[in-house]
Amino acid sequence: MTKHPEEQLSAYLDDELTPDERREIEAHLETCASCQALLEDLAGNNDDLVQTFSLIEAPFDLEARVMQSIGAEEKRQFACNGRIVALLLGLLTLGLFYLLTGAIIGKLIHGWSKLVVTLIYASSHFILSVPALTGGTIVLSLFILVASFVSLKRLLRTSAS
Amino acid sequence: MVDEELKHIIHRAKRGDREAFADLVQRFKGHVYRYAVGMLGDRMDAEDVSQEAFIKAYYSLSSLDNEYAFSSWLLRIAGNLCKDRLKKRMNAPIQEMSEEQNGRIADQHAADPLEKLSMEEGLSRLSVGHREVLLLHEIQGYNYEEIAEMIDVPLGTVKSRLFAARINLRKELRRED
Ligand SMILES: [Zn+2]
Repeated sequence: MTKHPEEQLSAYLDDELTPDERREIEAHLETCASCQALLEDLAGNNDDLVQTFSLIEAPFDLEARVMQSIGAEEKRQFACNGRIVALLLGLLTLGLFYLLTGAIIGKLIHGWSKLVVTLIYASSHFILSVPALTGGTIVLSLFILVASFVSLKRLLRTSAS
Repeated sequence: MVDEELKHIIHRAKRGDREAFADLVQRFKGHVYRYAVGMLGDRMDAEDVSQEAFIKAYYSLSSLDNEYAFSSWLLRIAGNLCKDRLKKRMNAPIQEMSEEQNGRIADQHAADPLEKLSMEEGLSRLSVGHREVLLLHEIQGYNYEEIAEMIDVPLGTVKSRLFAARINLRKELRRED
């Protein structure tokens, strides 16, 4: 212990000393004016501190604000959960719709492609069975071929220059 | 402070009774708010932290297994939020601080050195650790053993820290240089 048992003084103030320590401090206080003064100072500051804080009042509406934001948070979570449920329901509906209509559309596309193939097959047969139409078709094909060749050449030249 | 009635209210709040929880806020808001004012030195911040502390308490109430420890548990939540905020304030650039904080800093620099500091100003100049023990002991009324458990330090540390806090506060309040 130092000459002045100051730390013990603080604990003495708080009534946190053993009976022996307490007697020791009280004996020292009787003979030491500087420790007496310090003790008085510390006790005085404690009183001031308590006095200062006793005047501080919590906002009157704090509980209302707390409960409101707890309520809002729960509502938000509820809404969030609701949104997820809505999304799942939407996807489910879409899926069902797809399953039901998908079969019909698939059948439609399948039927159509069969029709187109048959039409092409029939038209080629028709062209080949009439000689005049066959010659005409060959001439037309050659003409289209030459025209595309010329236009391609011109295109290449213009892009090169 | 902890009576059977309070224990019953805490029990109800734990089971999700909002009315019971509102009752707890009303009973303990003074403790939490005063502690936050002392730690933060700013009323607006203290209001925010108090609100935050109760909301946090509401959602973690199920983890409280001893109803008798409710107030120290609540203050520990508030204390941690205060420390987080003080840390953030240290890192925040000056222009992000509130008007009030800026004003107070300006005041501190311009203060008449002969003018005595107010208790709140004196307190705000102590370290966080010193403020903490002083507030828990003087304002909240916990003894050394309870404080040691709350802030997780040995009993001897509470004793020496409290003494150091008092000496520093005295120095700040009677500063003459
Ligand atoms: Zn002495």
